[in-house]
Amino acid sequence: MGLLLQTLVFGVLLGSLYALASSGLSLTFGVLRIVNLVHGSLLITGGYLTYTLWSVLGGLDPIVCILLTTPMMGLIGWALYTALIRPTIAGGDGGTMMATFAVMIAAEGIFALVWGNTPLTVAPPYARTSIALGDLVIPHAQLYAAIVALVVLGALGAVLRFTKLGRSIRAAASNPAGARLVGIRVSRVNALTYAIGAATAGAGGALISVIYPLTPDSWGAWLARGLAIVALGGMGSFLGTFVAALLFGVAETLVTAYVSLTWTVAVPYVVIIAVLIFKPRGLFGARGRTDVSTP
Amino acid sequence: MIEIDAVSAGYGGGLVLRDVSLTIPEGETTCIVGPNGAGKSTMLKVICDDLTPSAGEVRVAGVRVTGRTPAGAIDCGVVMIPQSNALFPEMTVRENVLLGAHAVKGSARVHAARLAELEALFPVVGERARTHAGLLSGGQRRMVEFARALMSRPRVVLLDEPSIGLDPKSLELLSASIRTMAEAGTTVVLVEQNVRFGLAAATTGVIMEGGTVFATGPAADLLADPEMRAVFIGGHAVRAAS
Repeated sequence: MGLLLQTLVFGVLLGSLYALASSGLSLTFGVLRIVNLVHGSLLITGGYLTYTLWSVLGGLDPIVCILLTTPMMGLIGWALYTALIRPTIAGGDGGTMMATFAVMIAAEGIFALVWGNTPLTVAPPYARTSIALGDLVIPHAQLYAAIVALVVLGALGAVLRFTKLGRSIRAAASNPAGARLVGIRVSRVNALTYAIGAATAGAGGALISVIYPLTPDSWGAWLARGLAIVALGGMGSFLGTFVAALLFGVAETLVTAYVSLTWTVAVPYVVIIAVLIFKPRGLFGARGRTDVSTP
Repeated sequence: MIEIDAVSAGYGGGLVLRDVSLTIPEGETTCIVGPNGAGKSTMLKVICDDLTPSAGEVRVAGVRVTGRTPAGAIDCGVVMIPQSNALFPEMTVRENVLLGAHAVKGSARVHAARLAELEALFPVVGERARTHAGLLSGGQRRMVEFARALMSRPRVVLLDEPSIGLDPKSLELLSASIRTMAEAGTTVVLVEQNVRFGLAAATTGVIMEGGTVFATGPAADLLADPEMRAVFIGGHAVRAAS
């Protein structure tokens, strides 16, 4: 019972981080309708930037680094959208997918050139400490990461729900042609959405850098997790992504605890295949009346 | 007054509208009818600049709308309700209606006051405020679309085939809503396949065929004209002086 409770708590903490790490992927899919293959690389870029800031600025807390990495990644996202996504998006899924795939491969080479192939980890003072609650052990790093992830996600959710920008983003996601007709400048909303998605990777990457080692090829595992979570939650559903990330975190820790660490790597792929076969719209796929022909 | 001046427009290089000139009177309801492919919906897209013409221009109250994008057209007081998929199905009815004020200046208080006025005009907006728009019936969706269009207090409302898919009761509501807009001084331009409904709701009729204006006149006269009846039951129009 103790192991199960420990596993579930770990799973929820990790799931919160996964939710933040996947939120940008969900957002770009929901609004731009593109599978942003470069999202894993953006997360790792956020992690490496955090490592550099932490190294250069005398051990600046990675949580504080978020205040810098988030706008930096937002700018990188804006530049990527302008240079890569906007020119290719009109050509359909194929063009954007190939373009993001190319950047993803190139990014791995850049990571190796700039930061080398040795695994790097940001190690603030709380990286190896934990809280004990009876038999339950909660590492500070995971706890702080989960809290920060929830705060960032809450802020993002509030922006989407309550602000004019958020309503524009949701409208453009729901019906781009209709959004244009109410005066929303959809191309500007797309650029902002992509930048926000990249900015979440800045925050997510900073938190990842404390818990997971950064290597040039670690984008692959994060992209796989992100795709599995977004597929499970329902492509483009923000709430769905959050719930799916928690479930996914618990699933990974259960597999690690009760099966084998080796098999944890397979969890994203099993989830993607299962969702595509049994519930293609995911847990929170779009609802709507099917008895009414849209007037 | 809407002035459509020597407009040619189309898609992918092919022309749908060919050198069309037309003046639509202010504060009245004008119905554009014609066979499929006549260019009716394209005309509406050009008026709200959802489609920029290859030649010519559109002016509303003397101000050039062409080249401004739909957001700019809303600034000029022109809003469009398309034939289908106008709403945001995953957003609530209230959010949908409030988005009608997206492109216009005004405080939240001003928008809330306008929303309250529209809730009185279209009760479904208040009654189903928190319902996702995708869960509404066809008639309810139309009322929400009307309310959203009126949020910005437009000078001109363009309606593309508003009667499609509506039952008789919803058609009555639609007709009453068009009257309400006209009585408030709004210029309404509607495109209709349901000729009887469209011309009955309008004061002026415009007949289009082959991307040009075939005839214009009082809607009641066009509705009573035997030649017009022949055109819309499958015959081919013979060009005559309007």
